[in-house]
Amino acid sequence: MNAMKGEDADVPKKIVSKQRKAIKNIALDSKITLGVEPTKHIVICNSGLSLGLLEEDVINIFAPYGPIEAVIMVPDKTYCFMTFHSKENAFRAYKCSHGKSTFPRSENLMVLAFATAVPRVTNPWATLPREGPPGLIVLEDFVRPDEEEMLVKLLSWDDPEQGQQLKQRQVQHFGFEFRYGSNDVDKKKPLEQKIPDQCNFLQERLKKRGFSKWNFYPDQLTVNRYLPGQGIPPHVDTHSVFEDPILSLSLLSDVVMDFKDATGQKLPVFLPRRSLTVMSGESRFGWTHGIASRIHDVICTDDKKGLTVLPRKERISFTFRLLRSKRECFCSYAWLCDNQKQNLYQQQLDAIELEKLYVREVYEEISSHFSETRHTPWPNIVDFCKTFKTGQILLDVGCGNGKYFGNQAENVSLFEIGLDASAHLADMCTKRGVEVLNGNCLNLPFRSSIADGVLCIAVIHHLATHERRRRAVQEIARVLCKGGRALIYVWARDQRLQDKMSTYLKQNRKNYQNSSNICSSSGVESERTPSQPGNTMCASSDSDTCEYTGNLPLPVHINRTNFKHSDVLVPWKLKEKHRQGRDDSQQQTFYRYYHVFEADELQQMCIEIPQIQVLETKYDQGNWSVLLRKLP
Amino acid sequence: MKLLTHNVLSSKCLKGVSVGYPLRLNATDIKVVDVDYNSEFVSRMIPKLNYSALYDAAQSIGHHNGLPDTVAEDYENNEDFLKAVHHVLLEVDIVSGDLECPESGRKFPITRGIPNMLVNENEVNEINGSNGCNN
Repeated sequence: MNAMKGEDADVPKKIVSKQRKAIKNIALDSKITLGVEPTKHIVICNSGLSLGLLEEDVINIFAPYGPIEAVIMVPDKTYCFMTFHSKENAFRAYKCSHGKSTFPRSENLMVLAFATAVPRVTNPWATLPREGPPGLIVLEDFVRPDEEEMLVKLLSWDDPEQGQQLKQRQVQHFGFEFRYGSNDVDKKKPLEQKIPDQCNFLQERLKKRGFSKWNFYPDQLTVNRYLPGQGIPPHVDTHSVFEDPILSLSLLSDVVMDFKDATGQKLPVFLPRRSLTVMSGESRFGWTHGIASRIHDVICTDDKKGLTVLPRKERISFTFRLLRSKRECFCSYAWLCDNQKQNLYQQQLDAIELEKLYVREVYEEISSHFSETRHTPWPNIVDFCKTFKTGQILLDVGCGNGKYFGNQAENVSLFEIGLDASAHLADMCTKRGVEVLNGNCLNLPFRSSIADGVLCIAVIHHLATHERRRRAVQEIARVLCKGGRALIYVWARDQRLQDKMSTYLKQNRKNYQNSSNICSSSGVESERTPSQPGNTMCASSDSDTCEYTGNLPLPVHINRTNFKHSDVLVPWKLKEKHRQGRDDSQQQTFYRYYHVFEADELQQMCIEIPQIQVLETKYDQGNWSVLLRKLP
Repeated sequence: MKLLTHNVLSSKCLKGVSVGYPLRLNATDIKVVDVDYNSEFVSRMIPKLNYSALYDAAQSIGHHNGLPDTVAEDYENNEDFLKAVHHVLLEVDIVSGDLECPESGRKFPITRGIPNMLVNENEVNEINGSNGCNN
């Protein structure tokens, strides 16, 4: 052995080419430099734990070439490493095996290479909490071998009438059929085949093992039969269909079940043959579970130090479930909850409808009257407008009749564009000679980073879900240029701060009499609601300040009172002269939807958006305002 | 609608549209108005503009006379250039016509000088928590 060289003429060309590819791929995957230059570390390129190669196998094959210091089986990989005592030993092993020997239980020729180091492998089992995800309990030796045999014999798998062949397993249902398309059961169609009475002893057994709290009588049983290599994709048992817990009996062989939570954390759980798995609480609702389709599982060696593989065998599981009496679920794991996802979807649809009926259509109806009441610009907002310089672009999202146009500092020439969803209000802007377009604040029709400033006054509180309000702020952030600033005003739920009434409340006649200090300026959302003499605008002292009216979807707020709810309809009484073409003498009331903001709510929503910084949060006459800056 | 506004409009929010810019401009009624010229305003605006989109839009409605097809060198001191840009940006007003998404062909009508950029919820991407602003 004069010159040690990894390349060799007696190795088949195919193996040389395989080696070249493997060196590249494994080096990328393991971040370890590989090559044909001999070292004391050898990488076995084409077999490892995931192909069923065991640590013992490696030792048996390579021990004849010299003392082995370590064998490193890498979980889930088709390669593994070993370290010889010396480079010479490693070279000898390489020379004799690379492209020449085969693996046990296989006819594949070995592909080997040298490594500059070996990976540090953490045993995924060693750090696991014993019981896996919270709420998961594995009761070992739950049934005796004779009971196991009896249960397995209850089933016939050869009869095509019995059960169902799925892609990766066979199933049989008892009590109710589980429908895989919709992931639910039809409660109106119980199966003739009930849960076999032979299963009844399981309840007693559970009680005896100290789990009397799960004294529930399942009415649905799914039996799964897995052959080696088969599995079940990660899933969660439909929240709204089945009660908590779910019981599952493992028969005929052991298996590893993988649990995963919302963060992607994966916990393998060993389910021994004849054990009962109780999936309750978080493990039932907040984790998915599945069985990988493979021919063996990687488990801990008996001494708990190393890893080994366990070949899969036929396995039968009995999963017992109890149907919920009502299809609902109020768990705190919305990401896996069919019920809550459905609700979110419904909320979104409801929000669109609500905004259409109680915001957009109303503004069209009341626009001219509304416009009359919107004339005094709010001082803080004017101050903001005055901070911009000649040649800058200022957008007014939800500009209404355009009352904030033209508030720039003296001798400053800005380009201002207004946007409003109401066609009538946009027309009023054009009559003032300002630039305006019709559009929605959820999808600003502008390219990104074009605005030096954005005003969004009394707009976002008309959006009916948190997601939609957040989206509106996100859109503002998108169109702002780097360093650009936005000012957002929304109506506050709390109309008194430190016992001072907002202008809005002071305008209540009753409060008016008691108030010595009357602010004359009109607020963003506190401008005097028009009224006729003797109307019911003021809350009487003893009545509730919110009322539910038969056919309205939300409580109706009583004007000039503090808010009792976050989501309310606020009446607008339309003055007679604005009601074109209508000859009935009654005053017509419209309802506008508002989400009134809690302290911090607006600021919190803005903080969630990474591109922007909250420069200032203010309570301003019954409104919350934020001043934002897009990060440079 | 002024051509300066056209220069910042985009239909990117439409489902399946990746850039949505510039919008094709069809004008059926144009009026030319007088707007006070402010050289500082125009020269500060130029870096923010997509100049070729401005030129193309002006050309498409036949109001590009006097406007060079690229930004003049040393434009801050080029009064003729700034005045030509001023005219196109602020004095040419589209009263009616439409704006057309270059990718989907969706048309946004302009009536009484106001582009209607309202979109239906089913035309745009779903609203969810993710996705910040993409520049």
